[in-house]
Amino acid sequence: MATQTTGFFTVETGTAVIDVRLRIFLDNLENVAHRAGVRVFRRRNGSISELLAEEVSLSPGARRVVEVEDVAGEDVQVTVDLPEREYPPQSPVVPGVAVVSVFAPENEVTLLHWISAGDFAPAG
Amino acid sequence: MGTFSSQDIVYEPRRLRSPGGVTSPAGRRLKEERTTGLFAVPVGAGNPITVSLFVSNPATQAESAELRVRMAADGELATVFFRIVTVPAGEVRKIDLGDLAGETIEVSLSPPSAVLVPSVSVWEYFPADGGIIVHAAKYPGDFVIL
Repeated sequence: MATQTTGFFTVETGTAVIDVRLRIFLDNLENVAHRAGVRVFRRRNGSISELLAEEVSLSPGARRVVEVEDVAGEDVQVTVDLPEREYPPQSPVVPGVAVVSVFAPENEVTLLHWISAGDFAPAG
Repeated sequence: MGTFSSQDIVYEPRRLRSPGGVTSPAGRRLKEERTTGLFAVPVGAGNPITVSLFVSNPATQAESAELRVRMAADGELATVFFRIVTVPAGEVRKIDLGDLAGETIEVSLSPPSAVLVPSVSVWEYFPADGGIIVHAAKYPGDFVIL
């Protein structure tokens, strides 16, 4: 498995009726099943805590979305463990992170930031 | 039948010209860093703007690197922040910089081979309700190696 990370980034605050969340996307571009790992870390008062650690099964051609709440106003980092491939060297599983706001009364979702696969860097 | 004349062949060392116009026999590799390149820090709605620098360490031992912020002014780059950061294993260092709203800056980490992961968030703080709006972000993949 290859570990990739977004590094830490700051998330917007919401309001009483607007919640801010992360949506972590994992796309399996191959016609065979794969597994991937997702971890989300939060930095608060100088120390790091793990908000989420999850292993995800991806059936052929499938997309999974992992939603993370309680991140508004926080500094967070998303790290993914992806299956490796010799050739071509890219992983068959492509990650992405959306920072979205959800307006609860109408369940309206607005994209605030998009972190693409190219924004991730190898970790470790 | 042709006639050939012999001539001494003189091999001269190839000289490379650097972007600054100064020849560099050693080659053109002038920097050893990972950098965001220049980007504009927004002014926002007039509230305090903070540039947060994050350096996280995914390795299993402490790592150090030079963190530098340069500002473009009068056609030149001036260093406005420099620090050697040491990050324990699995930890992160966060450095908040103010007074950069409206400026054009670049953030760089050296050496580029360091396993440390840099990122930048530029955000505005709204004192009235304690809210935060993120105006710009630079993720690790946005840093290029020079």
